[in-house]
Amino acid sequence: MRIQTLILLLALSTGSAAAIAQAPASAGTVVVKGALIKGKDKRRALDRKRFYLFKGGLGENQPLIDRIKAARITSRDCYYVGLKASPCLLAWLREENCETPFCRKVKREDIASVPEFQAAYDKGLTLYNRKADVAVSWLLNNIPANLVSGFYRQQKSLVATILGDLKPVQSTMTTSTAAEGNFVGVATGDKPTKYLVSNLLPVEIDDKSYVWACEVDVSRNKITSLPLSLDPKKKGCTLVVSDLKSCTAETCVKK
Amino acid sequence: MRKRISLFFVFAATFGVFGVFTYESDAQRRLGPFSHNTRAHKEGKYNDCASCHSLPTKNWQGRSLFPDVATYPYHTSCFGCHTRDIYTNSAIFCGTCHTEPSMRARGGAGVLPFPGKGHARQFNTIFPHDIHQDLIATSPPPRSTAPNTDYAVAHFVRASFLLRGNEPVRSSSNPQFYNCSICHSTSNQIPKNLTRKIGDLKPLSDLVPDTFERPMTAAFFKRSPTGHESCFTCHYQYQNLPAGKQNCAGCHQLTAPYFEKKATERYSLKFDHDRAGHGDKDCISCHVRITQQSNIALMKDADVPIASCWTCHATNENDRFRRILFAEIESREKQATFQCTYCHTSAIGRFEIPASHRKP
Repeated sequence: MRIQTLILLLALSTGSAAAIAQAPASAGTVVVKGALIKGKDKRRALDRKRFYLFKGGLGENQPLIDRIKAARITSRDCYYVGLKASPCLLAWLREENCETPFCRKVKREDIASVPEFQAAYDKGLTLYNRKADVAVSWLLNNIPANLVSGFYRQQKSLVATILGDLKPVQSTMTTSTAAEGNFVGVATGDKPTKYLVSNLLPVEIDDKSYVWACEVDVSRNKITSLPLSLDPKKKGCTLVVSDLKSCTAETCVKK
Repeated sequence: MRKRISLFFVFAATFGVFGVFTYESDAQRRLGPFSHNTRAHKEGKYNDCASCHSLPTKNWQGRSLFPDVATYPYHTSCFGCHTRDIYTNSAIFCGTCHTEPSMRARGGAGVLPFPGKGHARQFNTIFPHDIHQDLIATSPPPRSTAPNTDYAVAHFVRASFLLRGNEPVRSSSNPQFYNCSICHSTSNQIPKNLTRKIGDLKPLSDLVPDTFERPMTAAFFKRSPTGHESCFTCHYQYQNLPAGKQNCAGCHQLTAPYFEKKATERYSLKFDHDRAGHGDKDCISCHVRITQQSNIALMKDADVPIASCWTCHATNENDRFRRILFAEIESREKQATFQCTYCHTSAIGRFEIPASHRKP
């Protein structure tokens, strides 16, 4: 009995070791390249954007693409205008193409010019025993939740709606230096396996929004490059383009 | 008379010896550390951490630069159930929080340092890297260079270490991206460091003394937050946390007691985070999977596949460091005792080359 158990354990451990050793051999890599996607201001639009990887190609994922097309989008500007955010908050977000105030550090000099920041700073001074440094660096604690994380929550909810019951295999985020994202260890077999790469959430570029859904063939031990383009006719890609509703706030008059 | 004196010394010596063996120091008399994991301490009203802990504590101004939890819960939290313990067993119960484990315990300086030193940690930190990466996602000004990056499956390596307090952050000429560096800054001091243990591979030669082409500096390492400081920037008093997580348990998860590792363990102790070509890249260029990591408790360590190195170090260019990965593999194939020492110390470089290191 003991010998049988030993043999079984040995077989299991050898098997699992072999599986680990073989894991890289049956996997490939997909590199999403978005460096060429730029707006009128010549800034790269796909820096720090999340992309998702799904099993199957365009055909198998048609229901997903239909949901992407059907999704109701509220642009960043419309979201904040809808909340009656001050024009200066919107201007501050636009300055660095931010979606939420988490995106960049609020500097001391920003406080006086953005009413929401000023109110949060004043509240912080009261709460933190007049410690100005703490009131500045903890500013986001004292801004209404809808303004701080509401847009993000709306985006998450949109992703959940688009996904439905579908689960992505992986997700990745593009870098801020090269607008590239990497799916590593993507399972494949002897023959190339089809996957779909999509950002699901529309990326706002100038007055339009864009969602890419592109199929890639992942081969064993190979790096598959997926350069994204704004060409709607690009083979293997469905580019969902929508006009963004204009929600212009009043002009920010800095104090 | 002499007999009486002798008898006195014999008694004195006996008492002395007895005393030595029966004396207990304060530390010996003290009960073990408070456990959050008993039924009485985690059920009923105590399921809510706020039944004992307050944020901030009354003493924060003397102890911290920002409103914080700076001491243990007050007497009212304990006395409801433990009143009898104060009057029994010489009140050693008091030693749970006080320096003097008896009725003579005092507040102020008489309270043990907080958080307790030398105790096992009882909580894991919940930190979803994916959500934070989504939210803190800024784009620096456009750059002309767009390096091509290739990745594949590889190991996990720990890139950060824990450092307490307000230790100054080292300045750097590299671009500071407003994301990972908010929490993972560069320290001014070299942390204790060790080579990670390799499990499956065999060593092919003996250890040799290490040489560092670039001497190890603090910039080789990144620190991780240990206190509330960076978290409270956005989450003080549970702000900006999802519904149902607006309490201590939103970030602290009870777990089996464990001790933090005191040393940073790396496969590549010669990697310099600050070097040109490293420090000027976005962290996720190499830590490629961190943006999908939702549970820090499931992370073995920071994740860097070897393929992150390929772009620059596995090319066919006629430059030693540009093809160093190939060059070292070739040298190993010619001579089994050759050690890969460009990135690794001998403790790693003498082992078999893993399959992941061979570029497809």
